Amino acid sequence: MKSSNVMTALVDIFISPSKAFNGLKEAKGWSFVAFILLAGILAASMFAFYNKADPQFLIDQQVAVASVDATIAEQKMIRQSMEQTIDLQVWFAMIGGIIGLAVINALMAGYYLFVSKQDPEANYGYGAWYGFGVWTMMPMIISSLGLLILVLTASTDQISQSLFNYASINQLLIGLEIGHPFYTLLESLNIFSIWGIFIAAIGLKSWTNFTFNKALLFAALPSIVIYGIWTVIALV
Amino acid sequence: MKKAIIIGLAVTAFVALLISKQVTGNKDAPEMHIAEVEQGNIADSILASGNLVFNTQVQLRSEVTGRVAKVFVEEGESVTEGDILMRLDTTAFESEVARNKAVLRATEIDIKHSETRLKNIERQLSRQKELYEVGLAGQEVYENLQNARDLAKIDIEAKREAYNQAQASLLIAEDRLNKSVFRAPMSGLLASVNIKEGETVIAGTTNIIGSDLMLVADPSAILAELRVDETDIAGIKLDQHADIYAAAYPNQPFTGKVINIGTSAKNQAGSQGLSFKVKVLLDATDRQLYAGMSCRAEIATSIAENGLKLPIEAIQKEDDSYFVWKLNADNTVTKTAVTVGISSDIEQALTSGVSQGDRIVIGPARPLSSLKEGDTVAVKNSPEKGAK
Repeated sequence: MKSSNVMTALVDIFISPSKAFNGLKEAKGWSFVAFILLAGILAASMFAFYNKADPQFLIDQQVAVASVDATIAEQKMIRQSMEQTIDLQVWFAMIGGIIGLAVINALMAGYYLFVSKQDPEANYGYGAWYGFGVWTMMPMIISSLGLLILVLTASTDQISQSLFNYASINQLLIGLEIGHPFYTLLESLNIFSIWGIFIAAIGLKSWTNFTFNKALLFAALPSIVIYGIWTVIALV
Repeated sequence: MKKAIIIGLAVTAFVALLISKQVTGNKDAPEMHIAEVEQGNIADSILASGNLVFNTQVQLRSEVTGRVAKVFVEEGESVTEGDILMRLDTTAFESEVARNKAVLRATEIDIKHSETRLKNIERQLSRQKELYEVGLAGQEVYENLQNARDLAKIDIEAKREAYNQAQASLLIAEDRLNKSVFRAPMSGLLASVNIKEGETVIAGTTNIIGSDLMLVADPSAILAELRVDETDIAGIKLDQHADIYAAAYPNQPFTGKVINIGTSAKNQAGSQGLSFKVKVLLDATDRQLYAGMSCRAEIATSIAENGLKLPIEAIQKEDDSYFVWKLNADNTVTKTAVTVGISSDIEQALTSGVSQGDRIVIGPARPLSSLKEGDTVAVKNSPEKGAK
């Protein structure tokens, strides 16, 4: 079974990813639509956030995060530099987010190309794997839509940047305070990225002859390595 | 079917997550400080710092060099004009006077000697004249004597000048002797005594300023010498009122009036800026002040009398117009445009837009800046009283 067109694929990727990946095998162009949709919703949520947030409140928050160990003079310097750049942050977030997405996906595509060589029958090129990577990131659409809803329904402009990570493991399960060694690690790890790993595993299984377990291992490996190193750094 | 249930659960969980993360913010009315529009005076002022000095003060320095034999006074003592303050060792000066007197006497004797010689020559000359006229004496002898008489007259003239010279030297020596005794040039307080017995004082010359001995000052009038920044100097006029805060009385200002404004900017030590020296004469006070104390001053440059005023933090600016948040009886706020007059550091005069007794929101700044027309606020009892 496979998705018949890009619209059904965009729904299938969430409810039955293998259908979407089966369809994608023959229609690589779908990935452009997916990427534009993803980038658009990401930029929209960022724009909505910075448009609504009270800049002074944002600065206070950011100074608090950046200056956990800083002296008063250093805090003042950090504050000054932030006050100068606060108007630009929205563009950094929007354009930086899209470029970051493209760059990270480029690395992931290289990785998928590399692991696909484990299966002699899989002969997709780098471009195909780049499109594949875009689809594994689709849970970010749900994540961004959620952020957009949270921002638009907020009844105050005192919203903090920790709202970006509303679905993180830290905010959902653990609740560490700013300054804890594992705070940033657990804030960045969220249910949507875990969902993405599963979609990637299903996609790998669909595009290669890997068993599901093997595909899951390959899909999760980059995250395991990154968070493993991060954990070691946090512990030291 | 099973899949539909899972999807349904996932969607429900996501919605629940969003609801739980909903940012509600503080729905309560923000607590704001309120001040009433009041009628009163506002003084716009310039701040400057400086030092206190005595209005009249005389720095004593020596005109002669010598060793101090005796100091008769101590710092802080009151003296009247003419009192002897100190004396140098006078041996050398007295000997100088004695020597000059001796020189004077010697020249007097010289003059007498020359006069006697002149009389003798004149006697000889008259005798020779009689002999020469009857032909008993030669012309040469007679003329030689005439010549000798003229020379003797010149000699006496020279001796008389030497006498005048010696007299002048004596006067100088006596003056130096006089100057080795120091007297108070005016009645007042000895603000400083920088010399001790046994020390040597040096006379001032072109390049050497000479030893500072004592400072006699009139303590009844004290000036504040202020350094006013060049950007502020245009606002300063003679007779302007100034409040002077001496370091020793930080909360009780002395009052005074500007009596002198410097005419050229001077470079202030340790800073790039130029400043003018402005003198403020302090009104008479019972409190003790000392010269050299540092002070700061608020010089009132313009005064708005009996106008409406508010604490300055109440005034908000939007583009080029000013407004305040007026508190209504039902605790809602209304944006009210105002025109502003002069301002001091803490108060702002208003010329229109509000009337006396109006209640105006003055802070805190964060919620004040985000107020909207018709917002309800809670009145917080301000710790600091607003407009005085």
